[in-house]
Amino acid sequence: MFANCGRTVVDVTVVQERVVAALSLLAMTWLAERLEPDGEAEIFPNEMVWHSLTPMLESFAAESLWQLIDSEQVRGCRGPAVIGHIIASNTPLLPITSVVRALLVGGSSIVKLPSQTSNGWFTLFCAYLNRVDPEIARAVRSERWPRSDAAKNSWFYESVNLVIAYGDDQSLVEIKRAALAPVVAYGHRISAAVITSDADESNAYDGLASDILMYDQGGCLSPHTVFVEGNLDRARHAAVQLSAALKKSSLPLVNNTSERMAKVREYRSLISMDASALIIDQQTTQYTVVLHESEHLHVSPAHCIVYVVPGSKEGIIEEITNAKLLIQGIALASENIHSRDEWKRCFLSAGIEHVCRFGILQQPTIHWRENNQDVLSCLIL
Amino acid sequence: MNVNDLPKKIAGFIEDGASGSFLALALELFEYQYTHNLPYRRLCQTTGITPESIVDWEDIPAVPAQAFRLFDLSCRPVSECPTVFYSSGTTSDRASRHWMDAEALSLYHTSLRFNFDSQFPNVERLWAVMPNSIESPHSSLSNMLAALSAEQFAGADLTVFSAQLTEAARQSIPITLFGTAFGLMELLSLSKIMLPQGSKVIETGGFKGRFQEIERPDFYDQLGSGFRVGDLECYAEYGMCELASQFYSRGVNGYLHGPHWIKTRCIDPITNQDCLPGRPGLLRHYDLANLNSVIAIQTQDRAIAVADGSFRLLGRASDADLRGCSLTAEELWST
Repeated sequence: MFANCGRTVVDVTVVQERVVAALSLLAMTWLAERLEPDGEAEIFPNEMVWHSLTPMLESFAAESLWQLIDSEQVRGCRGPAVIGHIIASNTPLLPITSVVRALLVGGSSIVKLPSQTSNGWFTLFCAYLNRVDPEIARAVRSERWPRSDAAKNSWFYESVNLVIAYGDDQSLVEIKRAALAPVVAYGHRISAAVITSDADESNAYDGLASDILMYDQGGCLSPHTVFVEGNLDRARHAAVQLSAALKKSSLPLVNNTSERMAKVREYRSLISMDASALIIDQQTTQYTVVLHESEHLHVSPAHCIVYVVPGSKEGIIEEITNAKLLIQGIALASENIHSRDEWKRCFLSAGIEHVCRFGILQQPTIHWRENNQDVLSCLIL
Repeated sequence: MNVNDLPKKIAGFIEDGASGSFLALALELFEYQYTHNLPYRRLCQTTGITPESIVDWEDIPAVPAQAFRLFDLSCRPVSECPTVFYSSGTTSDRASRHWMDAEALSLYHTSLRFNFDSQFPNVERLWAVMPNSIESPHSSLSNMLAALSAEQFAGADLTVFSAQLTEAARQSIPITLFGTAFGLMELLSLSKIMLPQGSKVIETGGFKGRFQEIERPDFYDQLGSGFRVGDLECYAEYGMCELASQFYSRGVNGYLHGPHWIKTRCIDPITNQDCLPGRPGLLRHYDLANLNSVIAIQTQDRAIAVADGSFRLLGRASDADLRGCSLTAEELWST
């Protein structure tokens, strides 16, 4: 079935049917049983991960997967025999998404997992896959090794026909230099949020709070700046509301490690010295809401530091358009449907497709067009 | 407060620890900097601390070392500061900038001379394995070695310096060789140099995570065999361009000691208080010689402190930027 199973290659449509069936069964089983890894060993609380995993697994339903395959016109199209995955450590579900995409185009996978994390969720995924279809499961091989292991790196690059790589821009440059096969690269990106002038703010902030807190703001779908259509007073009001919502969020939080605290304290001190910035609440270090006068997109240095800035509609759209290569998605709070559609059109014309309401930014499905591009057809060489 | 007296009072305290108290001078310096250093005052106001609200030097707010990259932390207008030191290892637009007016520079020199002379009395010949202050006008380390009257600096061509040092070593007068860790290793890669009896080697900067790091005991072994000096004649200097005072340790297992005009705390990042004894934390320095910038600096340097205020450096917090003096030499000589 797959290249490393020693079988004759069969019609890829048959492979896709079997993969879709397996993933569908896997998702149903996992959602029913809700097995999870040892929470002590994981960086992110399990409940936090379920927030993302549930909609992801729901999108593994057969109908949903065929819809994805057909929307990208890859039914019957075979991808590379062996796809190599180089996974970053910022979010725990990345290897699952990446491997599922490879399976859907009939590719076997060699996965280089991040060495700093336990990868418990991916281990569970592989276990479920083995339970529902051991033959497909054998097409997925994962390992951890340090980046400095030259022999292992050589073996990896010599073994694969395509590389899917996630990481910071410098790492991706190194990977592209070392790879012998084409590389599909997903580099550093962030997300933003927009509160329009007509937004009903009363319900907006709880969802935004969870978007920010997820994965300690470490994912590409984590909002770093909240643009508030209006003046500084309205932005201040939004910042205070957001701070309150963060305070009462029920989402379990990451552990405040020494390193995390050191960086948070350092960044807070630096922000305090900026005449244009005001930290809203100094009582907790789990998050930091910064009201900033400038109407620009601010990139958080780390660990749930979110900027709230005022701006005109034109200014906000211009700012987001200018940063379109950096922005992965936008959470939008806008009550009026016409207004919302108009904002979405503006973002779309800037090349940003992933626009959603507050609270679901960090719940991408397998359909999510990461980096605003096809996720299956880009694997077909 | 008579601002004009403050540098003299601090200099007097440096020269004679009995003339004044660290606490009184620290609070006076804090008041001066709070008044004249605007970004620093903003930080203090955020924490609600004013010169009137504190009575202990430990309560003086500390500025992250990174702030020197983002702000001009200067009590005097920078246009009145003829000297600026940049941290090494970064391009100048991202480098830390430590501005000094004439008084601050004078106090810096007083500080480094008294400290060095008390640590290393009777140094006759001081050689610097680093560019001189003309080649590196913004290097605090090069400025320091010039102020210490180093008789020879290594230029861009290390082979010339190696030959000169070999020649000088034929005389029996001990040599104190002061260099960045990278520079010293580069020097030894050219040839071993048998320094005269009584010579010392002072390394600074570590390897900053660049190139092939070697373990500290191995490094000291190589220094010892390469320059024919015993372990106890190998010293380490710990300094940074943001600080006007330095720390020294002796031997591979030595603890870093500072002079009486700088105090250091080891801070637990979780509690933001002093670490329990023997526990690692981040160094926070209070340096009276930092006249024109800020007295208190929070570093990302991890260390374990002991009761007498000395400490053992463990490294840098994992995602802290690489920085420090060793890179100056690295940049100069790497191919």
